[in-house]
Amino acid sequence: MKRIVVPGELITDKNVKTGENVFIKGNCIYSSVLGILNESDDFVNVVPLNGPYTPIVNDAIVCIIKNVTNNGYIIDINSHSDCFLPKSLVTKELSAGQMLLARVKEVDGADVAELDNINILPLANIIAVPSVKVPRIIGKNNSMLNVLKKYTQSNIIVGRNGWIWCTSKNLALLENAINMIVNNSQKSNLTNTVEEYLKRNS
Amino acid sequence: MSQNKRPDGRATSQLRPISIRLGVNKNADGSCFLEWGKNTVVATVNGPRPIFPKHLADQTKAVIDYKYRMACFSVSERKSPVPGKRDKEISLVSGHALEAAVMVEQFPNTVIDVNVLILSADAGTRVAALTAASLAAADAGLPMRGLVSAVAAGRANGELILDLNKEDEDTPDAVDMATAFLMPQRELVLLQMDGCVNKKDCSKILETALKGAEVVYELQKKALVEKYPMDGEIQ
Repeated sequence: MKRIVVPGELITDKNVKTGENVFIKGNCIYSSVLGILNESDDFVNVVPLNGPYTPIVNDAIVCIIKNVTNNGYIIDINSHSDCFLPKSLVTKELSAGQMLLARVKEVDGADVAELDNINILPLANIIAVPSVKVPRIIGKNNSMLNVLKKYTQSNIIVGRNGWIWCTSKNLALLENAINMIVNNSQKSNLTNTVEEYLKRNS
Repeated sequence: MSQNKRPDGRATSQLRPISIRLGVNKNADGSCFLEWGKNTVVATVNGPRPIFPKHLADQTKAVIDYKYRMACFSVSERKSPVPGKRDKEISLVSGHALEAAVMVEQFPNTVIDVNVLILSADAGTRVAALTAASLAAADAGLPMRGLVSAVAAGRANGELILDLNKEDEDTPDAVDMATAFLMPQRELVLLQMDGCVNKKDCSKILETALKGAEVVYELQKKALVEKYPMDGEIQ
């Protein structure tokens, strides 16, 4: 049975492997965030319910150019620090407000990212969600994403940083469905419920 | 401690009624609305974000910018909205108390904004503010060692009591000790006091405060877990 743990709550005093969002003090393992406890015989981790995005190597992220300087671009990646993209990495001259799809190449000690594999995205809508809900929006084997694309006839790119680039024929419905996923991410059987909701309203 | 009733009908070691709502502000990353007796408090947490001006940055940890403010209408006579000496002092010590809970070392060179507004005041606003701020930080999903549970204890009319209200605070022999504990570790992270008290009573007051903080902690836990119902209809 999954349960919600609060920061500082004791998870176990057994000697098990630990995943993310837990800390060890003495011989005990504690949760460090408000989240859902994922516990098995030899492993524990906590899936957070909200939280800031910190870049990790190989994340595919949707980002926006914030400012143009002499030799490159300052890019907003929805993290606590912006990152810098030298002009040599892009073939075209870009302007502020341009949306990009990029890969995180490297992250330094202060969590500042370096990007590569830059793709220029056409201007479209961006829906912002907490980055911890992104796995829920994609679903197992893209199941949720396929449902969203099918019923709202949209083109969606989900960035790991919680920004969703989308063009849609029915944007309001897509936004409602995404809100529904975000607000109920801790519940089970979400894909079927969202599919029913979209069927009713499309 | 005797079981005598106080003027407002509470026992000596009884808290005022506390109600908590989370996620009240859509613009903030985390927020909390807390009613503690006649105190009402709104706390929001934003960030971490890059810090400006850059010379304030700390390369080893995030800076917590805790702002405790009282609304003009929070007390019976209008309070000037300009932050005075009291506001600044409370902001500083509460910020340090919250820093003990939040894992600030994970976000170097950044700032975490914590804004607390007192909408209505009836003694013990700094502890209500700190309790709300730690809930807002947990709601924002910041990594934390535990929650900060704050409570005031002290003496009024010769009796040692928990959670003083304005009437208790205005008695001639009043002692008002504001404390905050990092729960569940029970580490003392804030201690301020008004009035005169001997050593023996002081340690008794601290014990009472710890018992009160445990009650506050249970309420905080309950509020956080109840924000995310695991079953029920999806809408």
